[in-house]
Amino acid sequence: MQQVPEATASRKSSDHLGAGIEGVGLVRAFGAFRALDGVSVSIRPGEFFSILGPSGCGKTTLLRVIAGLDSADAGSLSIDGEEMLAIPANKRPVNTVFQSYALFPHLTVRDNVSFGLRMKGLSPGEVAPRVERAMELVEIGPMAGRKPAQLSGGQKQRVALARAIVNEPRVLLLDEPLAALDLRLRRQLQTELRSLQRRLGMTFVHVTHDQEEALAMSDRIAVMNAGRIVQVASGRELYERPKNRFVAQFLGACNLIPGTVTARAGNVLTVATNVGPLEVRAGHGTLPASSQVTLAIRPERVRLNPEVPGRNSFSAELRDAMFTGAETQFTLSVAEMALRAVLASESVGAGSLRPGSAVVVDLPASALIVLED
Amino acid sequence: MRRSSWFNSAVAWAVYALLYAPIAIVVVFSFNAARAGMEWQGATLDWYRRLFVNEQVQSALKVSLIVAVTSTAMAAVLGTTLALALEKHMRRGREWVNGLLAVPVFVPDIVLAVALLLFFGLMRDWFKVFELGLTTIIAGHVTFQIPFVAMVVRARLAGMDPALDEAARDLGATSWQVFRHVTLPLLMPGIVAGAMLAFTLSLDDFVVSFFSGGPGSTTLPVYIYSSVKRGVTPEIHALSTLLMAVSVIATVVAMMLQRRDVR
Repeated sequence: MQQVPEATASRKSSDHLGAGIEGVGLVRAFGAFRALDGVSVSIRPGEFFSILGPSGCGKTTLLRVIAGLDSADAGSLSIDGEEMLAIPANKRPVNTVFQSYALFPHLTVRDNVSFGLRMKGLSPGEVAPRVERAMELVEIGPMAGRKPAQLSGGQKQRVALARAIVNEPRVLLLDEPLAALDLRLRRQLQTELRSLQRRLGMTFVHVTHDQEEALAMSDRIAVMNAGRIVQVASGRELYERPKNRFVAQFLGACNLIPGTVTARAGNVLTVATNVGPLEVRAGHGTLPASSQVTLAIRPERVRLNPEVPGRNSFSAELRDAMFTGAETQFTLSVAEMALRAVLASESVGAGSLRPGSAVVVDLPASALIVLED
Repeated sequence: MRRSSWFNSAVAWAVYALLYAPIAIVVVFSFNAARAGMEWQGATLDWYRRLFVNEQVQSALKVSLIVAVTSTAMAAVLGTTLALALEKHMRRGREWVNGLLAVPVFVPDIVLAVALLLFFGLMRDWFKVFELGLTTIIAGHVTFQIPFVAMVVRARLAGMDPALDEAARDLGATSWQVFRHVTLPLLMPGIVAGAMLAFTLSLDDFVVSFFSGGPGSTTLPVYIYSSVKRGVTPEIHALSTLLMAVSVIATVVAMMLQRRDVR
């Protein structure tokens, strides 16, 4: 996307255009089904915030409640400290990019983009330059005279984006904006959306079920499941320190090892598992001996045939090796358990790691995560 | 296989011939120079020329157009309002009202005509309104036009993306602005198509106009009926041909509009 004109960019960043959002105990029920089951969320001014979860988890409902397109049965919602639930959608300082784009089919691209400003009663003299600037920003200037039916999916997406940001909302809501696009275009637009958000300084609230997309774009991510927010953190923290099984498995692949705490020595727990006794760094939680825990380890943190075996090293059998390009995925069996490991293909020697061969597997204490459930 | 397809197309042609032969004969005879009888005496446009100087035809045409234009305009507004209410606001009983909407379409014209006559009679007795004449004909026509407009508009509404409405509100439009700038323009082809159908129905109606009309409110079909009693003239053929042409054109335009894509 185009460079923002100097004046606009500096004005935006100094004004801190983005607003903070505070949701407390939001409930939305459809009959017996609770789409939102007590959601509390705090979104910081000017951040790129993603709501990530499987379909039906309530993420779109949360977005619609913020937009005012759906109502909440209980709870409160404020934008920049101002209570919002009683305010209709057309009076809220937010704009939405819809999943289906929802472009007006009877209007040209230019008239679609200018719609919001015209509804507010701005004079044509005020509207025109802002519309031109927004269209330039997302590079749809040459399409200005076309109708939505004459645009490709990616172009429609850009028009939907321009139609929203031209109003300079305090908060931009994006409902799976890239879901309908093919993979290459999606990756490209992810980058563009991210840099657009940085330059405009608006608060972006982005809903997606694509964990890679959320990780790539967001400052912080809220993981939702069954109408509740499970964990809010930066992408890296969610990936490295997932709170429970749901988060661990939803973001990337994960080995789960159930076990029982047998001893605690300062900061180190010893956990008896099917793999063998594992030493783990304890979190802040107090875990008395004999409590049941689940340990998690990412496949890429599992080490094979380490030069110096550690305390958590065991002998294992290599069951399967699968070359997938940059990486090679292995399936191991340790005692009765199947573990997955991923190594950079470059580092895998030609001979030693063949299915059926015996290997030493090491599960470093620093890579093992103690989950809450 | 081959024989049965030959047979099928022969039957199809025969049915078409049966359907269109009487109409074709009327059209052909409207150009026949013979004043009476079935004999062809050469082509002429005389009968059409005469129509344009026949004062009775002129006044019947005027009545027909006043009735058709007025009733169509009213039915377009009322039918669209009904369709919008059904699609957007009525949650309960929608199926019922939907079914009831189709009833006037199936009720025989004569039943509707008699019912209207009775209704107008009661209104006259109680409130001294609805003297038989132009007003009653227009009211009668609106009655049978509304369901047609409502059904065509509803079909178009059902094909509209509900997110458009939300997008407009999200962009700051008030309820009126959403209607004025999004809903109405998108519905317009449907409304015009429905109105074209309604216009045709009004122009062609005989039964309701005959029953609810009074002195001085003779429409074209009623005029044709009363002239035929005095003998069928080629002038009547010419008038029928013109009436038919207008109806066919309006119907074709309506169908083309309905086929236009909503999205």
